[in-house]
Amino acid sequence: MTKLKQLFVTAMLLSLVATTVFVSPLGIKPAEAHITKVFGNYLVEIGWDNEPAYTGLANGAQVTIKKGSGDTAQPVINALKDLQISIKYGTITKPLDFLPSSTVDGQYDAVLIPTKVGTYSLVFSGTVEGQTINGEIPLDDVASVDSLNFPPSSGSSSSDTTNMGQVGTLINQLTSDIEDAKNNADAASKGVANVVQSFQQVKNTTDSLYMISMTGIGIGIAGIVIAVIAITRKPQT
Amino acid sequence: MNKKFTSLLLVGVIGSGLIYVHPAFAHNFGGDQSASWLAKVAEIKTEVANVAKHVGQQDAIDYYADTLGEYWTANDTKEMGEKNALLQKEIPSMINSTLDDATSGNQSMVDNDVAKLGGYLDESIPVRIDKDKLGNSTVQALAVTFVIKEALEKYGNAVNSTVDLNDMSQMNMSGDNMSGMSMSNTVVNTNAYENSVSLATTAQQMFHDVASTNPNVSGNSKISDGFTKLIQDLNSKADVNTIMMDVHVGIHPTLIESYNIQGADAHGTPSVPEFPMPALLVIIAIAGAVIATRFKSQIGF
Repeated sequence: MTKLKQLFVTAMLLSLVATTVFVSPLGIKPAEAHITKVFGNYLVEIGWDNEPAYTGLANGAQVTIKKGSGDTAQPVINALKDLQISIKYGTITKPLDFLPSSTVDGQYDAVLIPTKVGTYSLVFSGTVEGQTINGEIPLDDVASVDSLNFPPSSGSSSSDTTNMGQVGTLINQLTSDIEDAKNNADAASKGVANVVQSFQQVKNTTDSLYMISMTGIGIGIAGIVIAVIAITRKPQT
Repeated sequence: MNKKFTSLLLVGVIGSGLIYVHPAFAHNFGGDQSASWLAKVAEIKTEVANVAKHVGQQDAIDYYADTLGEYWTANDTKEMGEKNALLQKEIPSMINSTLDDATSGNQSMVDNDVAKLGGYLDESIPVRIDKDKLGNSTVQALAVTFVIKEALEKYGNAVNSTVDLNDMSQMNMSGDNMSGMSMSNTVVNTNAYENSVSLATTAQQMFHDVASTNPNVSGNSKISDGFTKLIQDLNSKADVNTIMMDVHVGIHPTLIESYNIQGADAHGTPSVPEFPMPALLVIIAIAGAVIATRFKSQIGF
């Protein structure tokens, strides 16, 4: 009976350890769910395109708008016609350019790379088919991409620190090169615009000259005709 | 007395020839894919709205099926697919549904199709057009000219005109009918006539939208008046030369100047100035003077 008791206790302990080992990692992951809010007869569902969201990884805000309730709700086509949506982090906001989804009616995506860990939210302002949609809806928290890194990219070893420094320098150089390239492109663009403007001015001048020359030719022809008549006419008696 | 009168008359003709300067230049449009897409969306919306007015009338439905086939082609479907697979499928599908439901006489289904198609077409705009071009008033104004072009073409079809209404060189600038061109105003195709009026009304609405977002543009009022006259003349079934004058003289020059539309086509063909009217009048006047002096004895001076 005592052995049976010991066996039972051991089994319980093993199951507890197994639960800790296999279940707890899921518990520390960020929440993975779209959030739905009701405005009158309309459902506004928001979330990240890729959940969970991590810093530095390309992602996007996703908004789905339906009319009705439950499973019978119907997607609203061109729902964002009169609706402005911004993303907010702390006190910073940025208007987002949403495009219709390639797969789902009534769904819209705006590409975004979250750069900081924490809470982001979408701020709505406007109407959908006359229904006012104003308010702020939080998105799932963004986690640090470091939690996915293996081996850790920033460690205590001196070689890692050196590598990071080199990478930092390279990034700075790349940033500088990109900035230079952008400036050059801007200058080239301005140059092209100036050339187009000059061409237009030349064209306008040419058009004016064309009109003047045609008038001159007309007068000239008439003059020649008058001269020929004057030369050939008989003197009147 | 006669000599003085004749001299003054000739001086007057020569003077008017020199003073009169016709500002319009031959123009054509094209080459801007963004403006073309905006125009295409407006045209398809107009055509399906017309279909909704003729539910169960097969003759009209067939006419608008043809025009919709011109506005939405297989190439549009292909290009849309490069940007958005859902719209690639839904837009042509909804066009077909609209026509099918109109043929079967189901008005409520047609209305539903038209609303849904309008939504998909609106969604296609930011998919196909960059944000900076979408907000560009020149692109928007160019789209207006594309829709006007379609309205003119349809009016020509409506009255079975031998004149290409979009070709300014075929326009009689003096406004009379002495040139011998066919200037008919008898409508022989009522569907095309309705289509021309509806497209012109769409162009007018598009222009009002452009003007409302650009209220400081000086030519807005003149262009708006031009559109009002065009619609009035279309409604009263005016002759094709009047309609051409409304567009090529009453709307286009101010629209081009006000919204900086370049008068060149997709291949960069420059616009060509018309034969200068002053030179022509001067030549005629001087020829008149020569004839008057050469044969003055015969004509009694």
